[in-house]
Amino acid sequence: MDTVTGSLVDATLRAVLLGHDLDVAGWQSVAERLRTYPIGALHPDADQTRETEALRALCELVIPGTTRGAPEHRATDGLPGPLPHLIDALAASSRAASGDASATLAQAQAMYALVPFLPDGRRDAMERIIAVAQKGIGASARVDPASVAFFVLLANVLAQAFAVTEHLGAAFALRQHLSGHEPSMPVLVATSNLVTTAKLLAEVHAETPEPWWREANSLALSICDDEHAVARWTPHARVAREVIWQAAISALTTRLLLCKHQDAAGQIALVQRDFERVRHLAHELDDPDKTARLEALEVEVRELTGGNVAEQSAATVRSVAGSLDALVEQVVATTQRARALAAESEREQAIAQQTRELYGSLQGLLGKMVETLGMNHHVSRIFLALGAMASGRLADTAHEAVRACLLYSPPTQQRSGFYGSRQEGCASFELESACFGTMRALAVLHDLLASEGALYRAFIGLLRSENRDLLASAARFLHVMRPDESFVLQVEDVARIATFTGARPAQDPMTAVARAGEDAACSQAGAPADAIADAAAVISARQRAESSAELPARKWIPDPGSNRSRPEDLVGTTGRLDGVPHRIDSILGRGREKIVLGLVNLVTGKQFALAFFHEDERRALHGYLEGLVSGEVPYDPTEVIARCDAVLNSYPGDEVAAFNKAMALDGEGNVAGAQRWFEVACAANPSDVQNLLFNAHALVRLGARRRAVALAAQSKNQNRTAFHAFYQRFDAHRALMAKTIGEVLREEPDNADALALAQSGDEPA
Amino acid sequence: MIAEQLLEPEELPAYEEEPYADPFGLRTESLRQSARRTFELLLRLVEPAHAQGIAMTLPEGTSGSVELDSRPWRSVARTKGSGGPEFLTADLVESAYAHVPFEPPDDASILHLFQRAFVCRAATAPLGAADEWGGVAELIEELGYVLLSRTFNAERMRAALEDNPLLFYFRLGALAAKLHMKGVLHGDLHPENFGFQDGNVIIRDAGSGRFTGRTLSERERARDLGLLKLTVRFAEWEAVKLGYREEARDAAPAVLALLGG
Repeated sequence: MDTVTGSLVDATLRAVLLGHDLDVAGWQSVAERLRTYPIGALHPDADQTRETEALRALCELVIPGTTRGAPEHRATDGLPGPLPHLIDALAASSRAASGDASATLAQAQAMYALVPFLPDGRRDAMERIIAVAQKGIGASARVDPASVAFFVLLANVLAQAFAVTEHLGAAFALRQHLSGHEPSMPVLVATSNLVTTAKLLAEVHAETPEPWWREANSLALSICDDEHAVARWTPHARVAREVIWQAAISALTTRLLLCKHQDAAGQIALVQRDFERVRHLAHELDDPDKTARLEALEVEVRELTGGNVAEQSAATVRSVAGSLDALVEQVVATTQRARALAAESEREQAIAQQTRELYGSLQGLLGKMVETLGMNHHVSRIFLALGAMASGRLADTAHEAVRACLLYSPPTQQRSGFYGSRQEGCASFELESACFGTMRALAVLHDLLASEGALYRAFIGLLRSENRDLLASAARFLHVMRPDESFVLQVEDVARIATFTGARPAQDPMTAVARAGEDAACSQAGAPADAIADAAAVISARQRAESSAELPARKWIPDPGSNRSRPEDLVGTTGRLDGVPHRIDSILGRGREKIVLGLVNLVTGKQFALAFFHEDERRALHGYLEGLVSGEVPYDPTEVIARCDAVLNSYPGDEVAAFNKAMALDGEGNVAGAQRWFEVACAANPSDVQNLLFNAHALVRLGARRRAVALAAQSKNQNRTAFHAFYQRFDAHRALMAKTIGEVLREEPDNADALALAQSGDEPA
Repeated sequence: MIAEQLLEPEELPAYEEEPYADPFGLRTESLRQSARRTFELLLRLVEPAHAQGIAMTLPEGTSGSVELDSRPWRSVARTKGSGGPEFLTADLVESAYAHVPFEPPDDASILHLFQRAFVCRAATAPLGAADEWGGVAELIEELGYVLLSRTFNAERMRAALEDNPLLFYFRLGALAAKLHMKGVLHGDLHPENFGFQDGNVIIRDAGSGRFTGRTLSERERARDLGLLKLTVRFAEWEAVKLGYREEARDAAPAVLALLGG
């Protein structure tokens, strides 16, 4: 049975990908057997019932009407091997027969997913797939970015792997379909693929490659800019950044090629700009491979433009320094003129005019900086320096204080997000220099007036109102983002503010804020009556809760669906307390060992408090996982993530929680999130083959092929037996890793890790 | 007895700037008050934000700090209502924190607080309404004062005041502290009696100096040091005190308290 089914699946694969004839009689035999018993023999570790259903579905598609009672909804997701894609391809094929363009494209996509399962017929299969995709594109009135991305990818693969370049032109022409679309992952990916197409076309037109390099550079730049930050907010933020990184690298490398072929002098500033962008992204992504690439490119940039770049930078610095000195001289002259004036009001007016002029410059400069950089710590320092001057507390030391504040650079060990955001700041040298010069002039003016009594007080008053206007003006340039998935509890918000501000409450700040709010509400004469009543109830409840340690324990059983691991999610849920139905209405306080909840007796309506002691989160998770393994508890990714989070909040490096959270996120399609947690699991236990290989496969899907291959090689060195067992169990992973090794070797033929995997003759290579 | 010829600290004249200025962050109480005022101002900003469902801070990542991926320089988080008493208002929290001590926030917290306040306000205030920004303008005065006055700590002083006459007074204060720690009263601390060579203060005239052979009292020290106050400007006097504090960390608070903080 195994052999029959396996070879029939293989025959179908060849029929779909290569157009071979199907053994219909064989399939009829399979269909007949399916009526009597489940098969489940293709993959011993797979879900047998689902596999049987999948084979039934395949029978139905190959020989319509041969099976009876096949379920309408066939869950094929997660089944190993080519079965799910075969079903998708055949189903799309039957829909496409009626001329449905989207079904034709879906058919091509499912066919593409089958290619790794047919290594001996890859080229022919790819030719067939691109023909199907071309048909789908041709039949579409409006091609969506995802389809553009797919078609361009096919054309690129054919050109790169099999030197078939005839489809590149058609692929590049599809870029017109991207205009007018909001930035999104498909647009990013499609544009990135088109950059590769343009570079391939430059190779095809070897005698006149410049126009294609220019196209590649222009396309790459179009997705490097910060306006596409919106796209970075998608759940695939990390993937998006990887794509943008690739684009930035493409922009720089094509710019360097243009430099070598054309007048380098005209390109220097652009090379510098492109390089700064790559440098910034490398810092953001914090990946050793990218850092290495950055260093290699830096050498190339220096070799090509080093002297010229240095000379140009020096010229800019000289020019800016000259204008800065002129501004300070102007301020000194204004102050001297003002001092010579007889009337107080005239002196104030002269100083006010000079001050407003400086603020006018700052308004434009800071608006631009806030728009480009956001309110990063570097820009924050400028506003805080303005505030310090307006506070009148600096006496005549503002010049030194402002200079030291603005030129401050954190020590290397403190460089984190701040350093990353500074990189952007450094990219706009002239803007920053002009701002620094204006601030310096303002500080000099401040110091010159510090001992002028009434004139100084008037100046301080003016600074305050100008600061207020400047803040309002700068805020107009800030594009505030509000990600949907980001939440903070109000009480948590206030507690954090108190901690940052330097408050030192005797107890945990969060509990302090909650309790303080309750106490204050009670003692507030003008507080709303219901608030006072609530507070009274809370305090009375708290007193009871505090003495609850002396009371006998009570049994709380949450109603089905009301079991939550996070306290804030408990509010509104119901359960039975000693058999009586209750509802949790509020969180009254939190401590290290317990949480106090406000409960309502649903029978009597009486409100009271109950202290719940925290169960050890790790023990709770292990119990839950045991339930999953034994099948007592159904697998629910949301619940798994919540329970893992409960552990990770207390033990951020817990391997079991990190790994299971990663698996759950992966199952939900959040590969970037999953990869982050696989990283944590790897850090906790770097010798575990599962940690390493699942992380590697997440990295492959994120495009970080070299690191993925490195991890795979590492895992093989750790435990060869476990490594092979993994790939025997996960077929699709094996095919994907084999493909990845091939790609890495094409890009970097001497990659030691890929060679070690490929040359040993072992799986997955 | 030289010390008895000197003025008592209370008899020394006050500078005009003394009531409000603190360029080198020497007034601990003033810094604490600034921290408390910062908290009050932030509460006034956070209350309307919460009313609009916006939080001022961002969720913390696994490392316990805000993650770079969240782009803190241009993003806000939403609030979740069930996290605490519904009647949590700025007035209530402020009155509840009336007896909680405050310490001046560190540099990283200052930068973070202003960033959060600005982005949160930008997300909630009507565009271009300058009146809505008065609280943030006051906030940058308090936070800016703490941040910039701290610029002149011992490590940064030399770099910050390079080629600036204030470095001389900073070193002079440090020298006075060294003398006092060895039981020496100079008796005529006056800038003209000292020189400045290669960044170091040298004594030109020690004619009134006296080695007591014992530990000096705080008042003796304050009377000796206070003489400088009669001959230098406000900022120079503050630099002297800063130098004294950096050299004699244990004794300085009591001595400087006698001299007005």
